[in-house]
Amino acid sequence: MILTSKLTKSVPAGPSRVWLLRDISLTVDEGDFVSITGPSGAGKSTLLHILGMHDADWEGEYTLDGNAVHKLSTKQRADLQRRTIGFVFQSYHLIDDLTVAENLDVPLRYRDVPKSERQSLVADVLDRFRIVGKKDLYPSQLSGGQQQLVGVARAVIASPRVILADEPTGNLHSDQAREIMSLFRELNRGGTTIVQVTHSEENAAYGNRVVKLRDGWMIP
Amino acid sequence: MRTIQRLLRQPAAPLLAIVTLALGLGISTALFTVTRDVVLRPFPFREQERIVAIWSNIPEQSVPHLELTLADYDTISAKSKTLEHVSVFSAANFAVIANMPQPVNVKANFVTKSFYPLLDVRALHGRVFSEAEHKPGGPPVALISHRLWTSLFGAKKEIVGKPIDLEGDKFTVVGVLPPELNFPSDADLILPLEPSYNPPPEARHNSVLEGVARMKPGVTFEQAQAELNVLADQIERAWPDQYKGTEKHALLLVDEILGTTRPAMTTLFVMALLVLAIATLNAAGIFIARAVARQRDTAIRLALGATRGALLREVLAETMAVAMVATVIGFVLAKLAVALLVRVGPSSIPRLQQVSVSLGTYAFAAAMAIIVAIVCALFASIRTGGSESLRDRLDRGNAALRSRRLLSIVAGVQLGVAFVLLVGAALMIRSFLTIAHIDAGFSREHVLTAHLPLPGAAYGEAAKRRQFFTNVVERMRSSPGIATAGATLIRPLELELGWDWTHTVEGQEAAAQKSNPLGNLVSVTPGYLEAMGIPLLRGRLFDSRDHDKADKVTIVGRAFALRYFGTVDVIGKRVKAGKLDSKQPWLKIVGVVGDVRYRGLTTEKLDVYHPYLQSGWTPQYVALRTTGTPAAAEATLRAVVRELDPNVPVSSVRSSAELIDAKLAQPRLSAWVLGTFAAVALLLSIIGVYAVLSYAVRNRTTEMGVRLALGARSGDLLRLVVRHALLVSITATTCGALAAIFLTRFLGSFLYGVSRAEPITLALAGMIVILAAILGSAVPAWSAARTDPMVALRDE
Repeated sequence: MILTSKLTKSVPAGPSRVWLLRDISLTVDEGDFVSITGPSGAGKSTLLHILGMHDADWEGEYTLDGNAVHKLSTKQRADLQRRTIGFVFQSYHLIDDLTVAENLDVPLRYRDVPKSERQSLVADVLDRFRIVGKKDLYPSQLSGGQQQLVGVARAVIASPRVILADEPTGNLHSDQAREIMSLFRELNRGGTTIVQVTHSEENAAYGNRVVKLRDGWMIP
Repeated sequence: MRTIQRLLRQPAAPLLAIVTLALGLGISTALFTVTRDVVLRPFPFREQERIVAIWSNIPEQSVPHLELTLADYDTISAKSKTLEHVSVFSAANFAVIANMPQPVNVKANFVTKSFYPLLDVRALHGRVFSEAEHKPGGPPVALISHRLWTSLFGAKKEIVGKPIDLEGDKFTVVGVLPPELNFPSDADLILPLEPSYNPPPEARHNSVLEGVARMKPGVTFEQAQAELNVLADQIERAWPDQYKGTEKHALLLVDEILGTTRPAMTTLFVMALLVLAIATLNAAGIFIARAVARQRDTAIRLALGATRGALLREVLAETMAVAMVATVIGFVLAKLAVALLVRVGPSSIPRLQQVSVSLGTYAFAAAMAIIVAIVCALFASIRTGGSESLRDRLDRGNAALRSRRLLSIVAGVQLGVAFVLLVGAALMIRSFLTIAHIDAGFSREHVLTAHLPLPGAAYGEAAKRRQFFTNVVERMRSSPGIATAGATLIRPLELELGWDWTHTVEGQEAAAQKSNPLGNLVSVTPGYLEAMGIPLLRGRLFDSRDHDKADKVTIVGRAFALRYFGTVDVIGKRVKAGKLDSKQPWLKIVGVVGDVRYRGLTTEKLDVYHPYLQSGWTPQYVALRTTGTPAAAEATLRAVVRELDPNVPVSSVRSSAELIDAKLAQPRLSAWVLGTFAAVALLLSIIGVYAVLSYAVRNRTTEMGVRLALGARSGDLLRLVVRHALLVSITATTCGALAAIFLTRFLGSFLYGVSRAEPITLALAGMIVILAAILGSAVPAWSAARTDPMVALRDE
């Protein structure tokens, strides 16, 4: 599903460059649940954003679902991203002036899903995540755990084949974190490929594989 | 100093605030000055609220405003118990001062003995008229205006007591009037009425006098009016033929003088305040955005021990600094705007020439600036010094959302106000264009007209006056560059008043005759209609056949023919002056010509032309049809007149285009002023929308990144920002439309040919406001569309 070869990223720093990722060659099969771990500054989030195609400034090869991302135009990458990926953020990043239901509707709008279908999908997801009662609330009216639940629901609503999660439980206490991680496991069992970045060994253990990074290098 | 350093560190927002405030303050200060000097400043009369103007009307004949007669004056002054110092004056007369290198034509007025005691005005130099000078046979004396004193007599006090040659007679100047007194009728020369005005019995009922009086102490306006009603009945009973159905009315003199100027000025001032409101909101919005942008910084400083008072003082100092700079620039703008208004403003606005930006105006501007500064500071401090905990303030989410909503409301209000101004401007412009496209009925090209006021002493007899104009016309016709020439009692668009002609059409019954509107009488020489380019529709024009011994004839305007006969084929029909039983001779209609707007571009009358040799009224103006430019004919005219009589001045020389343009000055000015307001308001709104959306986009950078991560395309983000602008502008337009429908009713009296809130005007203004909002959103939308998700999500 995901294949990178000699993936490298650097940024200029004065006369030289700082290397954020070096020769990352990573394979994630369909249905995998991979946890990327490592200390702060190891390059975990940088790698995740490259995989999520938020960052186009890198070298090497990256193939997603059989598509050579490094050969695609910006527009083709955006199309591929929309078809394939759902993203979960550490700070949830729900849109403040939209209700829960409207937040869930956002990814569907960007995928040009017809309105009636969107309503039906939003209703399904609200039901599946047991947040029907919260559908008309605004993010500020939810707890952190509830917000991240909505964040995950928003990531899966367009049925992506891959979910990328950047420290999804970083701002949650342990009970809420466990609830979210159980949800990821459940999704993974349903066939969704998941790549998460985490500091927590406990959370990393929810995955079936752990990839360790340090100073931009992948540690075997 | 630290304040200035802080402002200079991030100069964009303060500069934007200075521009917006300076424009708002400049315009509002200019309009405040004009309103104050024209409308609010008391007139130089004692207890102006007790002085009334008196006039007549005849509702049955649809005559809305008629001057008083000598019989009216005698009756009211003798019998009134509620009014004192009843006076009349005769306006719009012209006199000639002949002891100058060139004879000078000035506007003169004749006043009765109670006039100056009524106003309680003293002369600047010398004195006003004495009782003896008002008696028949009294010494010939004159008062001169301050303007004439400075322009013609070099502001020398010695003129008092000296004689001036007035139309061949010597008049002693007894005083110079104070500069602020430009009443009555902005006259430069005032003469006592009684010694010179002693009309024959039948002319005692001519409506030529303007009446003024003072209400006695304790008398209410209603009591004065009730008494006038009684006196009007008595006058009607005494002279039923002359005064049937005539009513008498009183109106505060100040209201009479200001007329439509007061509502016009008030409307413009309200509009100016709206522009200031936009500017204030704009500046407030800019300061709010600045305060919110520094919210985290403020929160940290509070956590480090800064007091709220200290932070508020900082914000206040910044806003005051901005307001002060804006005040100075605004003051300069105001001075420029006032100078422009005084220069281009129409002469119909009273006291406009006396308008100047003063210290009082500066105080007004400064007060406005301080209020604006405090409003801005309070807005900003609400954003930075609320009751939330430090943790809340450090959290950008909800606070940012609240700020965005508040700023959106601010931008919406600006757009709404701009919409109202746009509708006002659009109506004024459409009204102006309608007036500008009115066919005045005469040629705009190759016509020159001039006033030739004949000195009374030398031209007391009508025959002499006729002969003079006959000579001028004949000499001009044979002059090079002149195609034809004529003379007329009154030229088109000269005055709103004219010679009303009561008339009867042959075959009319008494009841029908009573409803005849007053005709517009014009006494003309042969050649006048041709010279003016007034088209002949049927029959013939006047020629040498129409002398005083010949059959009495007349030419009527198209509207006259249609009003009474339903056709222009009326040659041979007959009309006569007066009512059904009038002994005046029947006049045979020999021609029908196009209608001319004599009394104003928007005033339609039934024109009736009489040959000057068969009319009691002699010409006063010449009209020349030129082969070249009209200006080139002026020298020829002056030479001809000088040759015929060097004591006759050639004054008020105007081409026909100038006559029309002079009438367009007021609607053009209104359209310009309102158009400028609307343009400034729109510009400010665009800045406002830009400021708000720039802030919103900057504030939502992370959200933009999230949206990109959720699949948004650049176009989606662009649409998001533009949609915000659209939402705000459409809401503003909807609210603005309701406000405009309500507010534009106050413009009704200034509009011609357009209704107050036409859907097309509202739709057009709405489209412009929405386009302005889209324009204001363009840069923020573009920057949103170019959001780099990695930068936006950096804190992830």
